[in-house]
Amino acid sequence: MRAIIQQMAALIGKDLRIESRGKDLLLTMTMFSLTLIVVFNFTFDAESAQAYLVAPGILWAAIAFASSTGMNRTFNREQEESCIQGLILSPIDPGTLYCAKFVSNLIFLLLCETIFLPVFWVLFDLPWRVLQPPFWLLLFFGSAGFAVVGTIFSAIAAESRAKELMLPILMLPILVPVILAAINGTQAIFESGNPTNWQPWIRLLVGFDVIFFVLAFLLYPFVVGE
Amino acid sequence: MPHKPNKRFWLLPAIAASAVLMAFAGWMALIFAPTEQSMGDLQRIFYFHVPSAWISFLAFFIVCMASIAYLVNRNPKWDLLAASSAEIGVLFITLVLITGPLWAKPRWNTYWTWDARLTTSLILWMIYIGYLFIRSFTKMQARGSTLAAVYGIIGFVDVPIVYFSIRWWRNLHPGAVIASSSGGLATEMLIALLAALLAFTSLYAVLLYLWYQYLHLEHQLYAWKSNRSGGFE
Repeated sequence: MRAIIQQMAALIGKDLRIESRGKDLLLTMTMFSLTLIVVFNFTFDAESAQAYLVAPGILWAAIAFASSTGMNRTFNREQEESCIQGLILSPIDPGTLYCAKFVSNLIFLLLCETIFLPVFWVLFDLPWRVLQPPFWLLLFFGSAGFAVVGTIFSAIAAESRAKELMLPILMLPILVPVILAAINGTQAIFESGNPTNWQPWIRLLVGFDVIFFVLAFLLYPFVVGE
Repeated sequence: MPHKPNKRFWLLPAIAASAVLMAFAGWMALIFAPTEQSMGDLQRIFYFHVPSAWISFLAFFIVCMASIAYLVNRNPKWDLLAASSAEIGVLFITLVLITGPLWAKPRWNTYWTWDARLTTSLILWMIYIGYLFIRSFTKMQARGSTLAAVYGIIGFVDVPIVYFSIRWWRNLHPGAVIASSSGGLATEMLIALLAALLAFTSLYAVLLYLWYQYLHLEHQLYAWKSNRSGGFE
């Protein structure tokens, strides 16, 4: 058990170190999500009176697209200089590799969101009182859903001729329950603090995360281990 | 070794039987079944819409099972079964997505509505198009089979979750018409529906067999070619 934790720490540390040297992933992901807000602003009239009605949708659409571009990048890094071959040859279990990639993808996504959210709140003039534990829980489990599915599918997409284009095609249909629950949960939190409105959505997110984490953990060896 | 096609004496009778069953189901749907009171002849699309949906679910279930079997014992036959079933499933879910709006426009006054069943069907279509993409766009064929199997399993597990999450959200599509206690389906209609289900299932079986044989030949051809060129593709 201690060995696994050490291995995971080494793998996550590697990903974070690469990112701290280059910063290309976080900067492009955040800029991409900000660009999307501008586009959505023209698509839906997001003037302040109704802003809170469309804001949850825009928020999660931006996170969905940013996560699909970001996770493409994290797996492409492994392929550059044949890093993935080294990882497969090392005495690390593919399941451990999956957990480590999942955690680092989730960390990148959450870091991107911490830069993105305040800007989003300012641009749409959203109420700051919403930013409380229920919202953080929703944000965390929603992002975890993206990371759970994105981590395994980015490895599948990387072997395709269509490369980067494949990941959103593969992962967004699967992630429909996450997107739906995240948007509706956020809306419920925006409308009222009543827990009966947002709790079912968080439960759905947690359920999705657990089911697909177990599945991906079991299937990841087939994806990278050959 | 080149493949010698075996003479399968039962294949032609099986195809003929399925064709007769399909024709019979068509007669049941268009002539035997009574005209529905409020929808008129429009309702007859039901006998094609529902069986197509049933076949696509059956096909994707078989994709999932064959994918698990392939990952466990690595026999390429399971992979070919999953591949052929997925292609037929996509064909039938496409038919569902075409017959549905044709029925919905005069009935609901809109081609499409984002309720649980309709959205799930669309997502199902997208997932298995993605599945076929993996198969055809992966650079090495054997890797494509493995990756597609992984995706086929995850995709199938996702479908009920998609359905129930949207159902929580909203619903419009008529629920279980057959099982409902208030009247339900007329007996003749039920018979026509069962005939259609039987005929479509036989059509699926025949198509699956032919498609499987085709992929099997293709697989052998590739193996033979790569042997001839000394293992290089």
